[in-house]
Amino acid sequence: MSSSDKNRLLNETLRESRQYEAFRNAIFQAGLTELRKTRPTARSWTPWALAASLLVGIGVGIWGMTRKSEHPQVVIASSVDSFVSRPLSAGDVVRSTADDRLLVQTERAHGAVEVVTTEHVPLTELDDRELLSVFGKKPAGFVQNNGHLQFMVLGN
Amino acid sequence: MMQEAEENDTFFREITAGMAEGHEFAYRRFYDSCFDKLYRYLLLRTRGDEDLARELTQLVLLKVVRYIQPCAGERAFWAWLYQLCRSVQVDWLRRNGKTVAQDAVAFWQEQASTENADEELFEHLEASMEHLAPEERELLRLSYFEAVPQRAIAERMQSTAKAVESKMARIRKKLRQTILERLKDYVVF
Repeated sequence: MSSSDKNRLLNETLRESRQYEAFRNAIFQAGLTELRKTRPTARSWTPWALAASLLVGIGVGIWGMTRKSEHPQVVIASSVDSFVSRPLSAGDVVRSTADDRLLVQTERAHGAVEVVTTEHVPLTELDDRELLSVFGKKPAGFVQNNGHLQFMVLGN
Repeated sequence: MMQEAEENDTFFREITAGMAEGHEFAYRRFYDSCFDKLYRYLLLRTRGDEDLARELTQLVLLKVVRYIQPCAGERAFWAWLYQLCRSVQVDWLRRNGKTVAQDAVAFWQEQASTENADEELFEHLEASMEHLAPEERELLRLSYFEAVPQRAIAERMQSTAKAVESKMARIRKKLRQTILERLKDYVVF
């Protein structure tokens, strides 16, 4: 006779009563109610935590907006606006019609622009006879040296 | 055996920690595994007074839910639970104008433990079985200690499974009544 057998017989014997199951269920419910009342789980706090987070978020947002309106800040444009205008001379002032605080004053550029000038160089052209007289009967040809094309005449 | 003890310790660590955190599944596991044993213990301590045992069971259970803390293992848990039972019963007796002898309380505190509470009830069970008729004892022996299926018992008795079940229920009622009678003589205070 093992103790688990005896345990089973004892349990079933003591439960051999009409009211036992009702009593067992009633006490289970009483304990469950007490558990929910006295020991709220982390799960039941979650909605409250979310609601609190939301309220804090809204509060911080309102505070930030209020701060912004009290202390105007410089707005930095994230893109460059381009305008088409008539040719401007140095000293012209351009005013924006959309924002009368925006003024652009033109002036002559200093050093930022490099002026490139060219001049005409006259070239002398040689005909075949003149070329032959230059080379004589020596071999000549074009040779590429470090990417530069050079004309070479071989011989003494 | 060692492994079973470790598994039990783990089980009680989990359910006590879970209940302390307010998890309902832990409460359900505790209830399923401990309720009957708790009730039996209080039935023993109330000398078979079912009404009082039920009232005390409810009071103890509410205190368990309110005050449970994570326990190290099975023994620690039952030691705490039995201590709680004693405390609840002494409070009840005082509230109801009963005199509680201090030496009786001390004696009880020394005696009560997980093992001897069940052992005492098993002794009552075995002694009560002696009061049954031989064929009734044989029926219990086959069903509970030999694990013979009811259908096989019915065939052996040339009866039906349903008739066997009815007979078993009557035997258990008789046995229960004998145990409760015996518990009246059990000295607690």
